[in-house]
Amino acid sequence: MTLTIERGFALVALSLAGFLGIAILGFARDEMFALHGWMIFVAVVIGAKALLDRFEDGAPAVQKGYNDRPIKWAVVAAGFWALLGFSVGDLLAWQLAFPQLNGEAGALNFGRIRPVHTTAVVFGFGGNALIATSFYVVQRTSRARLYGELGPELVVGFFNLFVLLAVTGYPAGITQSREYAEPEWYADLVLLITWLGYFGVYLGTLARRVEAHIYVANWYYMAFIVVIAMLHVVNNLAVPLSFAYPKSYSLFTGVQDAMTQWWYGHNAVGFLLTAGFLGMLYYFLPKAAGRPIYSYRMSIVGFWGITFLYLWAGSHHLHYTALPDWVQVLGMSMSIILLVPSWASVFNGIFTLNGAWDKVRTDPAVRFMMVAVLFYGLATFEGSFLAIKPVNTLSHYTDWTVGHVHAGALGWVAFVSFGAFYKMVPWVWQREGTYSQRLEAWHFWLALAGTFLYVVSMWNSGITQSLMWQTYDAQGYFVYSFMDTVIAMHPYYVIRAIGGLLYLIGAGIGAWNIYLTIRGPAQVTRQVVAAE
Amino acid sequence: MTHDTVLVFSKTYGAIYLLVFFLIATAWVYWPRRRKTYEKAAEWPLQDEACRDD
Amino acid sequence: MQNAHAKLERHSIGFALAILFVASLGGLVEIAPLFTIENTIEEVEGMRPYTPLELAGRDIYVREGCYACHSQMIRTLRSDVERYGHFSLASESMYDRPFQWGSKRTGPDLARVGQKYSDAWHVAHLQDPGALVPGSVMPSYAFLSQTRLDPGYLESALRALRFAGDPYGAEQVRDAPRHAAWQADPEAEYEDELRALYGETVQLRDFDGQPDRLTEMDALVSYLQMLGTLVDFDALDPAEIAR
Repeated sequence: MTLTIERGFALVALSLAGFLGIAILGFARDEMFALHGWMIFVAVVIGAKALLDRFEDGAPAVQKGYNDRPIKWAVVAAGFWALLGFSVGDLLAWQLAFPQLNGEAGALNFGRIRPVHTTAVVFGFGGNALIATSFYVVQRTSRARLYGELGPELVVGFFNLFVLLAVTGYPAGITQSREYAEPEWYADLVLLITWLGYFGVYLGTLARRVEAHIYVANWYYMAFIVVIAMLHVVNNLAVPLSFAYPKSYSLFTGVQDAMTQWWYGHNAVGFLLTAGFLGMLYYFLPKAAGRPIYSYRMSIVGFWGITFLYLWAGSHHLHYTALPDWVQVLGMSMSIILLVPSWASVFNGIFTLNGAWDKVRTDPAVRFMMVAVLFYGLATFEGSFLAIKPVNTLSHYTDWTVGHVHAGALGWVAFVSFGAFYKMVPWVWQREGTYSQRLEAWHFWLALAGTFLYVVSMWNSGITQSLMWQTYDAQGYFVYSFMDTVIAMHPYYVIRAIGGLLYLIGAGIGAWNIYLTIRGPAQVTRQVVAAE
Repeated sequence: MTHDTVLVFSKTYGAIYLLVFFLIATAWVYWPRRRKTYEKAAEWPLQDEACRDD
Repeated sequence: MQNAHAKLERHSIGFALAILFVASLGGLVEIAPLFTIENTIEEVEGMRPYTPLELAGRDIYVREGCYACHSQMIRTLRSDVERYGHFSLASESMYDRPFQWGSKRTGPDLARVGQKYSDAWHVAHLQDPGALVPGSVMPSYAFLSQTRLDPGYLESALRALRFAGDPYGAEQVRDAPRHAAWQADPEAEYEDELRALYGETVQLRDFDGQPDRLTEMDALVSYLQMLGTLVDFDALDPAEIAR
């Protein structure tokens, strides 16, 4: 029985989480809050049991070879949250077309389950995909085993506890109503502890690397981890009522709160949904194509460009509001300049495929990643365009914004994840390849069709509604009442919901394919990760 | 500090400083002597990826 | 070997610190001055903290995620101002924790919805939006009329707000649950006491059409009816708020 640094940290972290859980389940007067106390407590007990087993079984503190167990867990969790998040998203889309689907109980009302969708896809699917691939990439590029024996699995487990606390809380009305930062203070604390552990595991693994230079994919993953930690802490500064109620009030008010929130909101997109997934791209695309990054140096310049510029751009979410003008102008300018490093990554991705175009045709995983790069280019161009103040008068508050986010989320984030998973799953589980490339292709075309229906219908509805809001007659009166503009949205909402359904079916096929791959026969030779 | 001072600074010294900083950083990365390092780094994930623990 | 490792470790920690430094610049420049620069928040007459009942209503607004479809921010655009009223001032959300400016108008802006419709209209609309506004895609909130408001939590709520910096006195914190009931009292028996604490703009009456009990509907409607009503724009000097 030895107490290593890692075990010491795990012990402290588990104790902190344990106190939190016990305090909540002891004092809570709100049913769901008490249940959350129990959930935290049970998770801590499971974690502590695993930790004590380690103490007792006398296994060496340092083991050899790659540690892929936490990766497997995160892959399974990502799949689960993806299916849940896409399903709820499509339900929301149908609710907007047919409001009767909200029901009477309140728990399934649009406002309550919208964050279930966003949290499940952004943190549940996106977060787990990043944790899984980052653990894979950091080990392979360092040629070293993941730091810590239990730490990585605790990180995966408690990260998913955070997502579970969040999505079970919303239908019961536990939310901060800050976009993409809805979870209340106690869930935020669970995430904070987990995130410090994640950072430790990542740095610890990098410290074991055999080559002095850190491969660029790890830069992006590291920016994702560091910046998300900073944003999460600052944006969630809040005063909890007590241990009796889950509620808290944010420390900042009004205009400062708005700026902090959109500094967070925009950079959750910038560092979770962009930097992290660029890290994924810069490893899995070269691997899958069998070619090095077209310009490694451009990827480095792009890295610092994105890391610096993104944080300035958040104020473009607040054009023409009560936010001081100078912040709006600064946000707009930086958003436009941001296009340069963004498109540098796009060119880099596309040129990396030069000489491997046959794989785009024959390998759906490569096709997923190529289309992801194109959607990244589209979404970043659109983002810079919408940040221009006069353009923003047309797009803001409308479905255009929703369409823009989904061009990025469906087309870029999810596509690059699907591509990376189709490569990584066979490598990690040591299979010859995926169960079926035909199913991969089906997934690809359904997802692509769904994304197109979604994005195009939202362009139409957004621009239509905005123009209707701004239409005056000859006397200078509004031509359309607000309700006229809502009723005009109906056909677009139906098309969008159909697009979402296609996307969901595609993801279902993908999950089935991954499941059959895992169930399938193991690779005959023991050669891990040979590039095909 | 007022709005105007912030505005003037961000449009003059602030902007020039950032531009110069960017140019230096780019020159650093693209300096011919560092070419080999980065080309080697780019090939890194394509080489044998066996775990080299000892 | 050990030395080489230590060196590399320092390297990657330094790298993480460099990322943190570069990434924090944008936030430092754009957020920190908002707390110190003069004129970020104009000083206007009339702004006051929420009464306990309004706060309970606001908490319900936050709980139900209304921000997903309704903004509370009238921009300085003609089409915004003519449809919804005077553009929003920064000071009007100075007691909003969190801000609820929103980012999507599936429904109309609510920044100045207060006193535009009757209480009865709001109650009927919240119970069955489609019946009052044909074509509406808003869900039903009929359950609010059946849910009793538990004002007990308001004491800790006001204490938390006071801790965060809102100007509530010790008496206001202690009696918050009672004050919530006073405001929805159909006889408005304690009108003077409540006005003395919260000002002349406090609206006292039964809001939900059920005078015998205090419901979440009371709270939400009291909140909706005060939105945007605190500042008297006719009395404001336009030059003063021009930015």
